[in-house]
Amino acid sequence: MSLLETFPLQVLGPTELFSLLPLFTLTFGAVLALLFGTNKQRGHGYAFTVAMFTLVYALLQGSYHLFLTDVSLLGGTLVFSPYTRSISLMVIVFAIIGVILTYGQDKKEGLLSEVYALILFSTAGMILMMSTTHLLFMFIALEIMSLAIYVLVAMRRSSSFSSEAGLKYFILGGLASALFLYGTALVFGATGSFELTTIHHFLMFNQNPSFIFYVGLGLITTAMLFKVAAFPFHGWLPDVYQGAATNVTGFMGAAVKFTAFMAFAKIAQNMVFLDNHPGLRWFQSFIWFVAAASMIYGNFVAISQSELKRMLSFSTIAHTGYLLLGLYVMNNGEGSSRSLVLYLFFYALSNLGAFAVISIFEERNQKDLTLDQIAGLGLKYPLLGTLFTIFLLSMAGIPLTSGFIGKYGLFSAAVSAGEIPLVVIAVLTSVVSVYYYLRVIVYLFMKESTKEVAIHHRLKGATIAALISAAATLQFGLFPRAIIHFVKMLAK
Amino acid sequence: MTNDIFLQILAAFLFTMGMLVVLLRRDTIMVLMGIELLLNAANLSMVAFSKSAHMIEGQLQVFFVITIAAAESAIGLSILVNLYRNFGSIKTQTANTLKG
Repeated sequence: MSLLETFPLQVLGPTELFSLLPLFTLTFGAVLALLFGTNKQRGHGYAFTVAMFTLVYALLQGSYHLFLTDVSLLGGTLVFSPYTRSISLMVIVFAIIGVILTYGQDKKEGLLSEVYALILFSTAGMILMMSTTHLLFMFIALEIMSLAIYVLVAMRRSSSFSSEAGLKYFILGGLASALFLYGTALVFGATGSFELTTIHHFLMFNQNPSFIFYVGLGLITTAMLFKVAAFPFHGWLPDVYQGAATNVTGFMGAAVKFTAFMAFAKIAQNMVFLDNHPGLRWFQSFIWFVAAASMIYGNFVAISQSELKRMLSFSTIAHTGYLLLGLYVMNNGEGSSRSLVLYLFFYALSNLGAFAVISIFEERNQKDLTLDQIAGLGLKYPLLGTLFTIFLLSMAGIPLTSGFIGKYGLFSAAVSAGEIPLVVIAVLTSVVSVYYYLRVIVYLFMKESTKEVAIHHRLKGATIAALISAAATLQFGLFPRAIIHFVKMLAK
Repeated sequence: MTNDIFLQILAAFLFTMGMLVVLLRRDTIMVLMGIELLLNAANLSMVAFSKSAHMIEGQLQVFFVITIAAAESAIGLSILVNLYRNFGSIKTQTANTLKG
């Protein structure tokens, strides 16, 4: 077989070009941001401006061309549909909030001006990862995303926490990538294809794939569970959340989680959740157990934490459990895939906002905020306290915030799919989670501050980012109909 | 046919060795080398599979993976230099200020 047959060269038509434009824009803008960032005095400001313009331009481009017809490039390797375009837009929104959040924070934490370029590069990797159906392409996109994130995590160069977190994330992330790659190789050996859709067809007509396939699928599933930080593979998450600069933590917790889950959902849909396939039962029940264990473990360990970022990282593990529940019922229930997207979107927004507020309260090079340190801060800074309360309530799933809408959609989809035991666990553990979220609010508003705590850095960027996230959280919580309708339209 | 099986066993062996190095060695440089070994074991397996199935696809992808591996080791080494500056050592057990 010749090269041209394997990778047929296409002439790009206008539809293809318009679908690819956000990617081109992001990559080009990232290079520009790198160049402008080298300026000694104003590097940070220039890089920020370039990054913001790039992201807003990509957002406008993407939303203008949202409803173009489906495009498949490189023989089905890259697929752009209204669905993938809109989840790419959501990631771009997270990146915009992340960049605003970084402004001001970069000087305070001593981050280099390359932080903006790295956010853009990783966003490009995320869009690629969510648009592709080719396993190796997904590996490459995963690496484009992760390599940028490794550097972002280790970027507080004078802080020993940060370099330790960078090392841990690098080693475990590299291990997960290698597992993914070897799993891909084995699946290729067993099915003869890297394409998810071809593998899906292969499995439909082949009830008993060889042993190699199951080993490969196991490796891929493990790698993806590592990336989304589900219970037995969560070890890196709390350390990385604490060690990274808080703006990076916020961006990571939103965008990386979103992307990893979307990619995992695609893999699981095509390779794990097939009906009438006896060999895959094991994998399905494995995901069931991981979901239940993540919910229980994350919520109960979060109770005993006295540090804010660490507590939020354990609550992230619990949310991973809820999301895995959504993944588990994805193929069974009508509209459960859209409830997964909505939940992820809402959760990521409130997560970003929460870390934005933490970054304002924090001092330079601080590892974490303890609960005692935030005592009384809500009374002293009413705006920030209120914003933080909104985010925590949203994560707990209290009505009038978007978190409630997300959780309601997810659980009702799971109930209609008949997955009652898992929903019972999810509801009970989310009752537990209300305790530790409310405890933070009690500390913020109902305790006297033990010592004089003042905010040394008034971070405008982080305040704006928190305001945007809070506005979105309330908007989607009070008037959810528009976005639910939008996502429903995409699912068709 | 026997050649293909031999190559697969070799790839699996290399992958296991790489995994053991990553998990057991305390020297960060060795851990980085272990990650390289993991990626190359996967490469070998992919090449062998595509050879036996007479498809060029798997062999082509190896070039991409090699590029990624180079980028990854560059970033790994720079993180390592940063670690040495902060801790004065590159042993993994020195970097345990964050309780996991």
